Amino acid sequence: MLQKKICMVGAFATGKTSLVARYVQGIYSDKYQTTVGVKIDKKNISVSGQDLNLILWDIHGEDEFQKIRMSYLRGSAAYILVVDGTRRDTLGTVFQLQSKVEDTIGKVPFITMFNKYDLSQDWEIGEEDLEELTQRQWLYCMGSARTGLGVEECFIKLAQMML
Amino acid sequence: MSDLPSKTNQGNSASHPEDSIVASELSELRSLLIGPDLKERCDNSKLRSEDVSRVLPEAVHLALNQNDPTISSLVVPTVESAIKSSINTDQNILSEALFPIMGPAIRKAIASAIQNLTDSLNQSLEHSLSPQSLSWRLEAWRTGKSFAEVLILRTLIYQVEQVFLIHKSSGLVLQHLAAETAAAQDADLVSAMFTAIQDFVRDSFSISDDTLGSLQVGELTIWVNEGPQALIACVIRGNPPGQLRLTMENALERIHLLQEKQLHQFQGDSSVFEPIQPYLEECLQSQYQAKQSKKRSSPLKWIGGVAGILVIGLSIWSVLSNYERHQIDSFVNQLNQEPGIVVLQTHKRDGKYVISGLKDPLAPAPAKFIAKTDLDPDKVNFHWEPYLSFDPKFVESRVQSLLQPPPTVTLKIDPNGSVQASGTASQAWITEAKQLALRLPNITQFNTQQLIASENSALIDLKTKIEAQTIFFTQNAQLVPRQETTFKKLAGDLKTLSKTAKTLDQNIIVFVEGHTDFSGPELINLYVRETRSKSVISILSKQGLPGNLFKVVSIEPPASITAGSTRPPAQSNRKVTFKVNFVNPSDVDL
Repeated sequence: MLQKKICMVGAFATGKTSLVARYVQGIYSDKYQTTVGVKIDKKNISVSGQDLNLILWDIHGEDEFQKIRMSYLRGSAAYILVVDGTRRDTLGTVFQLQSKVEDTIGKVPFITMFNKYDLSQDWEIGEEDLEELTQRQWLYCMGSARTGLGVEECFIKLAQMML
Repeated sequence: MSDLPSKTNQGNSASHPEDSIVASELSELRSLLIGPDLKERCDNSKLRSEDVSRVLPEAVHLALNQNDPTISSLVVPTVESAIKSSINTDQNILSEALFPIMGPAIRKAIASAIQNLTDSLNQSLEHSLSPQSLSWRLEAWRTGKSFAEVLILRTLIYQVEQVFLIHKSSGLVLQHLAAETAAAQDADLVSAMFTAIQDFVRDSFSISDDTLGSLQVGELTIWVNEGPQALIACVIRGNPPGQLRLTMENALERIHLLQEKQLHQFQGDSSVFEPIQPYLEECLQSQYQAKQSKKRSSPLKWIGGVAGILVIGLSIWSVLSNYERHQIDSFVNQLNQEPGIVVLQTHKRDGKYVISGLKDPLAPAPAKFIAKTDLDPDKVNFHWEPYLSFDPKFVESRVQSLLQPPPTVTLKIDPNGSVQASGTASQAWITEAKQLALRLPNITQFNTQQLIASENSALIDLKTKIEAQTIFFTQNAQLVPRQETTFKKLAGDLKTLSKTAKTLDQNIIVFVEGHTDFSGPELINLYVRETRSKSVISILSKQGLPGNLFKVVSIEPPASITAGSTRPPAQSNRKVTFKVNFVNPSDVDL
């Protein structure tokens, strides 16, 4: 069994902890709890016949008061950039974060996840945003921690990229 | 080398003089450099093998002496495949080869396991009933842990409960070992979280190179030794010795030496690090509290001990002896308070107490009082002289026993020795009791005044019956008709009374009382009264009663009747009544 460290990176309140909770425990809570420092969880999966032990580092979100400690990302096999689809500015945050992460740990697989896809009326991500991601050759997926939509698929896709 | 010149000479003779000189020189040089049979040796594999076989043992020996790890690592696969091949071919060969060492090894392992089990049992037994164990049991109950866990925790100086080998950059766990008695958590999460804490501390305090050397959480200490690629973290309960740091350091160094390449190229597959587990096991140390050693006692201590035991023994004996003495005194006091027992002397003989004195035969047995004390009945003997106690209880008991009174008689004995009898009894018993009672010691008087002879009682009954009878007359001194039944009954009663009185040595006189009313002159009335009495006597005499039994009595009308205004009917006073008197009565006043 291979162990892989995966980091959840994104602006604050984008739903990183909820995505991990949905993926690992299959639960969702409306109660917002800000992450202090880092939370660690794990999930055993099998991808393309290979057993993987994903060690998920749920790192606190970045905002103007609190910057992500890049040391948490050392040794990551991959990372997920989490964007709140109802807050377009969080996409800008991940653009900045990605370059910082790449400076710190080098080129490793990553995927951008647009969370809160169930809140379609508040959705702020437009075609031009997705176009920009395509131009950057970033892989992305849509999902919702609340409904579970697309969450597992996103993690599986990332796992496949790691192998 | 001895044949070289001859070969050279042969060459010279076969060619041109100059060429032959050159050829000869070349030949000599070749011969000097590589020898005449090198080609043959190179071409002949058998010869080559022989050459290698000569130097191989020496070369291996040299390499081992130089501590070159390469030779060992090269040999390992060959030896492993050789053993595998040998087993596949014939298992018996290796079995036979290993047999001499397998037996002792197994015995040693079993002995070690049994020793561990015995130690564990001994420890459990030692701690099973001590006050300390009770407090541990309380702690176990309070904390919800098993008693064994608490026992281990409290007798432990230190124990390395878990050892983590962690990949430094990713925080992924490479290997994890936990002691059997320790409760291990998810190693992956602990390892990652531990790395996160390390990162946090390093970032927060701007320390780039150093690492968090130790953590203290309650009773747990976490020691960390960091290498270039990996770190060892030991979770320790208790107070570890500094030596453990060295062990960790050594293990880390050897792991880096052996697995440097794997550590560099680590991509999440931790199975490649399984061979280094023995190095981590060395870190999984523990030390329990040593049992208190049995030191050799000095003679002085022995003497002190014996003296102490003697003093304690004497004290116990003294206390027990005093207690026994107190018990005996208390018992003797109790006996003395009992009526009919007088203790005169108490002494100890042959380890037994002898109590002697006087005892009334009617007093209860003293042995029965022993049961109420803590005294051993076998340790107390009695010696009693009989005597008569004048205690009222015993006097009464003796009177009752001797006189055997019927249930109708009550006897009261006063302290002066006077017996007062009351109730009813036969004359025979009364007579006998009078004689017997005075024979008893301390009986001075037997008073029977309140005692009625049962026979006299019958006489009185008959007397009362007779005296209740009345014979009525007309105005002319004639009997009122139809009184025959009364006469018959009266005659019967009189006969019985006369007969019974005779048996009691008594005679009777029946006064036949003639009555008249208040009319007419008294002289005539007197005559009528006597006439009426005589008339009745005459009738009774005819029924077999002797005439001398009767006596005529004239009863004057009462003054109230003669002078009173409320006069009763004349008829009721024209009658004859009876009075019975006993003549020569014995001592009963009738």
